Amino acid sequence: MARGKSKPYSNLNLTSIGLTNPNAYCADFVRKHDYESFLLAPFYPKSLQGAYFAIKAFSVELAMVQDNVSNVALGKMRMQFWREALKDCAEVCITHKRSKSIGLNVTEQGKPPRHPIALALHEAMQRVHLPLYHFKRLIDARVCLFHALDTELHTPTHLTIDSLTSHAESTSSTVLYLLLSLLSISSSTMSHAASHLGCAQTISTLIRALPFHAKHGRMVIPAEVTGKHGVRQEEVFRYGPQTQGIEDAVFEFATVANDHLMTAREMFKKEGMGGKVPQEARGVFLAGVPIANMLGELEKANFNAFDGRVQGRGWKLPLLVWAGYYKGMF
Amino acid sequence: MSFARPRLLVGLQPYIRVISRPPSLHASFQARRLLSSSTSYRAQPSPHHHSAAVTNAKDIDPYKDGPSALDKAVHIFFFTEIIRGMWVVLENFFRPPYTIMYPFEKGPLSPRFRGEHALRRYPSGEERCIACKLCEAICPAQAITIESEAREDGSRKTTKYDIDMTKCIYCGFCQEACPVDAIVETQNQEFSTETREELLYNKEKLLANGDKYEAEIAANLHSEHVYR
Amino acid sequence: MVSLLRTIRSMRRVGLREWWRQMQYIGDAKSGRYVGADQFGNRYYENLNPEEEVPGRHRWVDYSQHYYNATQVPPEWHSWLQHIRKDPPAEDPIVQQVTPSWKAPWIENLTGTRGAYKPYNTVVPKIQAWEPKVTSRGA
Repeated sequence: MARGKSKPYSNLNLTSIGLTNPNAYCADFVRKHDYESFLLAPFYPKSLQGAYFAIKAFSVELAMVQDNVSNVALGKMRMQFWREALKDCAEVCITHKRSKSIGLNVTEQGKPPRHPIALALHEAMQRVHLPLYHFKRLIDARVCLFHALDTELHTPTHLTIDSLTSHAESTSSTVLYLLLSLLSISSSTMSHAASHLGCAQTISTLIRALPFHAKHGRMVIPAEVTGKHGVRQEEVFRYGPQTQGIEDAVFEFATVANDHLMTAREMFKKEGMGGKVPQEARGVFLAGVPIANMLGELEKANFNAFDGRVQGRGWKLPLLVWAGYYKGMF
Repeated sequence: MSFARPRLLVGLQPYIRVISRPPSLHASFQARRLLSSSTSYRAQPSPHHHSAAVTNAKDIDPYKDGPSALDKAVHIFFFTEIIRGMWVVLENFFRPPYTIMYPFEKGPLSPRFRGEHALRRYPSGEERCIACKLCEAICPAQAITIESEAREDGSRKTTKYDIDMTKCIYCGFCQEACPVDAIVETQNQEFSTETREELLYNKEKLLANGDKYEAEIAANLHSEHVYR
Repeated sequence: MVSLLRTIRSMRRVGLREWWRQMQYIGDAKSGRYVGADQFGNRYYENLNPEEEVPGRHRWVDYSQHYYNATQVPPEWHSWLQHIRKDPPAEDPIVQQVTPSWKAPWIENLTGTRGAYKPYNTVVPKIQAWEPKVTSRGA
């Protein structure tokens, strides 16, 4: 498979990571912080892999801000930085295109801040049309989280599954929409499936990160679910897997993710695609494979989110992703 | 042994009775531990008091579980408290010091320790700082001064990045605010100087710090990153 | 004053010569595993036996220079010595991996000497001093 072999990150040595090669920086960044997305990269067209890494790196960068920041003002400042960076990226693109259409030869390029991710995004935007409002939505969702932080100190928790779902819609799903528009696919079925897949992605990530967040005194399972099973937050922070009812709560939470995943799969059965993802969109929907894998592991671990099997990367995942690509299923 | 900690033993009588006495050989091993001052006993409320209060107020004997009058008299008469105190002193006299011999041995530091500042570069060797001035804006002590100029390609470049280390309060906001991880606080705390002016760091000094410390900084950041 | 037994034990292990050196510099007889030496010849030791070394004193450095100074320890060893990293730099894969090619040589804190850092302005000064110009008379 020629497409699979071509890797812009094959020369991932330290000296190439920097401003001169922003795509390499993004690829390394994604590999470090979001390994599963890194695995999916070979299933995108070679020319779009740089843009894929740029979008993924951007979303990871935004997600990491809340962990790296100790007060709300700092988080808002960094978000504002990204908002302005995006505006600069987009503006440059517009002026570039306009000047081309008029016939002016404007050499001025690269006004975005010299941040590798911004540069990579700028490059991607020049190549493909990526709607700006998706990026803005990503930032706004994170800023909303900071507002929640402001009112209730250091607990960016969602009380209900609905609020969590709407958050997932504007984070994970939005990234998937961006990836769809990267591949120039505009089908309402696909975006509907992507929205469900995004919800499943957010929830599975949260379950997986439960030990990490519990260590920092944050509860990621909505209070609606924990309340139903009588899970006490404090016990989760202190005793972890020994907490009473935590497995039931995780089970219910995981069921929500699984439902979303099933709905996303159903979409492809309904529209007469025979339950298969069309060839051109497979890269995007392969994101479902790691989710299904993780949920399966969780089931094997008897819904103990603290189990090592759930936490680990697993050697099978690359094979599963590869098989998923050929079968066209996730 | 009974001389070193008699009162404690008496005080813990109800508990010690419950525990079966260890054999004499074992006891001799434990003697050292009992004698040493480093062992700690936790104070625990006695369950007897509660039950006594419930039964009958008149039958309470407040001295029942305590030391006898004879015990107390012996302790007062033979200065056992003072001898015990002297024993602690003698014991520590023959111990290796707890003090850390500083320049040779150094105490533990967190990988998140915030010390001397440094400006980092990308692995390819390019400067990270983009003159966004977020650190300057957030700095509560206003220790950072940045000036920038426009590059030919329209982006900005720092020409001046001064940190007044005498003003800095090492809060770490600058490294949190930095979107490109350019300004960081290293784990170095040994940058004391003889004159005040040596603490007014400029961009060259900060970059030089970064070049020297890069391996350590990057290794610490590596240990920080988590799965998301 | 240290415990006599410990002193004798360390003395027997490291030898009389080394013990004398230790008494001159560290001021305490210590013995342990030799971990490595840095580029300046400072030697690093470790003794993880809690009976022999109080935890917190279990890693130490023997400076090569007579005029020793805490900043003579290079950063990689500094993070080992201060218990930031578990393994010494030569055995730590992460430190090895992230060491860039452009790493600058380590310089100790030179304050109080001629090599001390002197701050200077990195931009063109905004205020120019007035330079008097003398115009010739009667022109």
